[in-house]
Amino acid sequence: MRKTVITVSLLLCFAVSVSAQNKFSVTYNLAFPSGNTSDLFESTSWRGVNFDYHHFLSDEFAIGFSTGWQIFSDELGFVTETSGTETLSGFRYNYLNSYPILLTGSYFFNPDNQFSPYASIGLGFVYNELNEDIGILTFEKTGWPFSVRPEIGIDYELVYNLGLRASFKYNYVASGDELPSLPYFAFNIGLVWTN
Amino acid sequence: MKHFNTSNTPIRLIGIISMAFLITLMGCYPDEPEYVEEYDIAYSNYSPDFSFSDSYTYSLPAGVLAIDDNRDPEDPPEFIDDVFGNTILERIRENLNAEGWTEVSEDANPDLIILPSAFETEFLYFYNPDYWCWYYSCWGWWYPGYFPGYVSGFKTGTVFIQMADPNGVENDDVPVVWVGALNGLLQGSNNNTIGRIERNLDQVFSQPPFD
Repeated sequence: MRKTVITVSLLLCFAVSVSAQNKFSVTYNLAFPSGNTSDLFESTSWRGVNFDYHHFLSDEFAIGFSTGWQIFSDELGFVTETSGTETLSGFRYNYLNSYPILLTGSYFFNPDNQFSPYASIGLGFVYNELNEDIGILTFEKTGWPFSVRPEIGIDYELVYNLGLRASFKYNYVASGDELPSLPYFAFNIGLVWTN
Repeated sequence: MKHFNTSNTPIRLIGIISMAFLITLMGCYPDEPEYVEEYDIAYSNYSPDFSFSDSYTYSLPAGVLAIDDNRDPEDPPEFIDDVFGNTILERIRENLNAEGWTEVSEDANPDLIILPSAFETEFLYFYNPDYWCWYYSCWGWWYPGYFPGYVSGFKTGTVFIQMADPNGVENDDVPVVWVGALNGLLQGSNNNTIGRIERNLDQVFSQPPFD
C-alpha cells in the first residue's frame, strides 16, 4: 500500500511538471539526533544528502517531493548488557540508514528576490534500517514508518537560475513496524536551481 | 515569478557538485571494527535457582573437546590443540579458584563438572548467478564438470563451557546451571588468539552470577 502511494505520488509530481516552472535542490545534511534517536546515537550525523523537487502551482506555492539519505553511526565501545540471567559483552556499533520519501508543500515568501525564504511541510514515509552490531552479530530492524517534516529555509540566487540553499528541518518519524520513533533535526546547505 | 532561460543552466557545475556530494557520502560510510578483537563476544547465562556464592568442588577434563558435525557423540573424543586447550583449562581453573572453589578429580564426587568444548563455524559466500537475471533469461545455471566454489568467507571459533550439577540429576538428566560462550574470528597469530581467549574467559567469569 505504502509503495503504491509513493509511486502514484511521484508519478503525479512528474506528470504535472511538463510546462510550469520547477525548482530543484541538492543539499548536504548535518543531522542531530533527538528523542529515541539520541538514546541510540550520541554523535552528530555528518553524512547526509537530500534531493528536493518543487513544482510551482502559483508564484509562491509549490508542491513536490523530497528524498535523501541520512546515516547515523555510533561506536559505543566495549559494552556489557544483562537481561534477566543472560549477559552479552563485546564492542558495540549502532547504525541507522534513513531514506525519507515525502510529498511536500512549500511556500516561497519573496520568489522574485535574490533572498527567498520559504517554509515547507513534508508528509510521507521513511525507510529506516537500524543495525545494532556486536561481534559478528547484527540485530537489524527495518520499517517504513510515517514521517512529518516541517522545514524553514532560504534560497539565495548566485547567478541566473542558480543559487544556494540553507534550511533547517525537523524530521519526525513515528514508531512503526519493529522500530521505535527515530526523529532528528537537520541543517542542510547546498545548491538550488530552476528551469 | 522569474522564468529562467534553461539554456544558461550550469548543468555541468550542478552535476559535478552533486556527484561530489554523493562521493563524499559514500567515502564517509561509517567506520566498522578495525581490529579482530573488536569482533569478539562473551556470553553467559545461568540458573537463577542455583546459589553461586557458595564454595564448591569441581572437576575439569584433561582436554577441551572438539565439536565436529562429522563425528557422532559415540565416536572416540577428539580434543583441540593443546596450545589453545591448555590455555582454556588453565584460565577456567584460575577463575573458579578465585571464587574460592576447589578442583578435585572427577572420581572424587565433585559438586560441579565443568565441560569445556570448542568448535569452528565457517561462513562462505557463494556466487549466485541469479544476479544476472535482469540481463539474460533466468533458466538456472550449472557448471559442467566443475563448481566455481565460494567467492569469499570467514571462519569463527567458539569456546563453549557448561557447568553441570551431578547432584541435581532428574530423570537421568543432569542440570546445567551455568553456560559461558566466547566467539570470535579465527584470525591472527596463536599468541593473539590465546590473549583473546584469556580476556574473554575472564570476561564471562566477571559477568553475573560471578560479578
